[in-house]
Amino acid sequence: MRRKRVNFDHYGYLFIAPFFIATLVFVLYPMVDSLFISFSDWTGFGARNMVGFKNYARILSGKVFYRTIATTLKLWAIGSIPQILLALVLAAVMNARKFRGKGFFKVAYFLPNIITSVFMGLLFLFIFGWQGGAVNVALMRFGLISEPIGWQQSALYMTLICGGVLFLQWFGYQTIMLDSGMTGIARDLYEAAEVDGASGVRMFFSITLPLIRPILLYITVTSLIGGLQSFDIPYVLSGKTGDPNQSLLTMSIYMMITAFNQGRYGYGAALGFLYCLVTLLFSVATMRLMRQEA
Amino acid sequence: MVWGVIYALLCLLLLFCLLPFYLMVIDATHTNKEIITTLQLLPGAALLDNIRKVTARVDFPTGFSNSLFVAVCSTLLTAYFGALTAYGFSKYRFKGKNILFVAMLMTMMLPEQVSIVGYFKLMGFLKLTDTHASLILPSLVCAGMAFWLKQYCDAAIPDEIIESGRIDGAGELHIFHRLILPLMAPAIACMAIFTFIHSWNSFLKPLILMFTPAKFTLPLLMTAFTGQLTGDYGAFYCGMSIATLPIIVVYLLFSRYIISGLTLGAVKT
Repeated sequence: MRRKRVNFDHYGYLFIAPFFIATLVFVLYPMVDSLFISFSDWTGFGARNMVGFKNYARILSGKVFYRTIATTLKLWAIGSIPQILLALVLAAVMNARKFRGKGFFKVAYFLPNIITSVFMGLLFLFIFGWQGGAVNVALMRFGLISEPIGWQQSALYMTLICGGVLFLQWFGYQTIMLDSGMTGIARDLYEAAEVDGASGVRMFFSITLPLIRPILLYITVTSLIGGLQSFDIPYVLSGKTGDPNQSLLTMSIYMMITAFNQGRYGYGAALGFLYCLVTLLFSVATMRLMRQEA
Repeated sequence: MVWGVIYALLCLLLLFCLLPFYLMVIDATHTNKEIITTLQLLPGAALLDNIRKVTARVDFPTGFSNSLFVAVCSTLLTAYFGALTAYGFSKYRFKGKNILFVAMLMTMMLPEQVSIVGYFKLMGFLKLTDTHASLILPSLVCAGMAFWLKQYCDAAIPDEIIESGRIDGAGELHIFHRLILPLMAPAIACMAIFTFIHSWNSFLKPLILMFTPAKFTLPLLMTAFTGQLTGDYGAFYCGMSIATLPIIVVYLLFSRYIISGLTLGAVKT
């Protein structure tokens, strides 16, 4: 009976091969090539001259690189910190025994996240339009201002608006994630605390918060990683430039404009690697920080 | 009393969430003059006029069909190859399996920034820039889908089914296609919704790779042509409504799956 002992395990390679071939071709090869390009002055066609660390040195000695990091972090912080705090409160409220209509609120709060980011950006660009934008029209109607406000000319306003759109887009998601974490907490913990006479607020800080720490860490880090790559909304809101006054020039927008609009592929690729390093650094730092607090 | 206040606050937040979209739909039915002079909160009579104006400038059928084509192809590729990879990792014991699995997870952490320039050059070399293929092919790299489906395979696909297939003399791929894939279908569908939404909403890659307006996906088409609509709010909002309402309808139809699927993907990581 030879057949009985046939081993099928080597078929495993066959099943996973397409994935690894595709990764090799569409991710790893482009990545290694990007690394080579980042040491060159390639402009899209023709020969490329290897220039060593010149691109990296120029990026690191200039100001724009650091400013884009600060801008990206600022936009993330304006959008995310209130977002996570609000989501904590919302999830806690939704998990109260008396609460009704959780499903409905979750669906409604998550709606802005489903809408294509580009469309969110465009929509708010028009809502905050100078002449005829809904916000200016409403403010003038109620007599709060007499002249339309030039939102799009002000770095401060645009930073806040962009952070606000990011907030609107993601607070529902954070609420859903935290809610699922809180739903998983055993009921009898709260019942025992109640018997001991603990208040709702006390229970939130002593039971809920410590127990959802892992999921809180998860959403903070993923939100940071996503935020550091933020592109669509600031790009559209700033009319594809990152202006006014580079206030919406995030890392991704700067890299994209440098490489693909200006055709400085070498410089752009170098930016990509440095930004990747920055992202890695901030993610690790956040994880450390949040673990320590525990 | 306390709960009354809480519900009131929740509804206020709801209002903030939905007001922009409400304005968008309402203003789609007004003339530019009406929108500029007063805040409109009730439907007007200019809808058909706005539709005519905006469709004259933005080719919606092309945008929709391009987006749909790219998203459907991407989703199919991710679903099929994700399942294939997951099954391979779940049901076979081969040398280097753990290392390869970790390597697969690592690909999820690489940001697009580090490979995008090289990818652009590769597409140029393969003569694939300005084709939909350049947007679809990367969905073969489907680590997220594979990771999640592997968990499902481990838990929900019994080895006996595979054994029974082998006893019947079926080949390994045949077993996968005929016996396993149907069993995985519900799990695949659950995750495929997210692949679809992700592809439908994606903007950066199309922006870099596509040049011909006739091949533009919807987000690209909208950004390219709204410049011509500045100064005509009615037509703009009308165009935005046309572009977003299908997503909203699909979302409302599948909201239960989508919201429960959100946490499924994350809880285990």
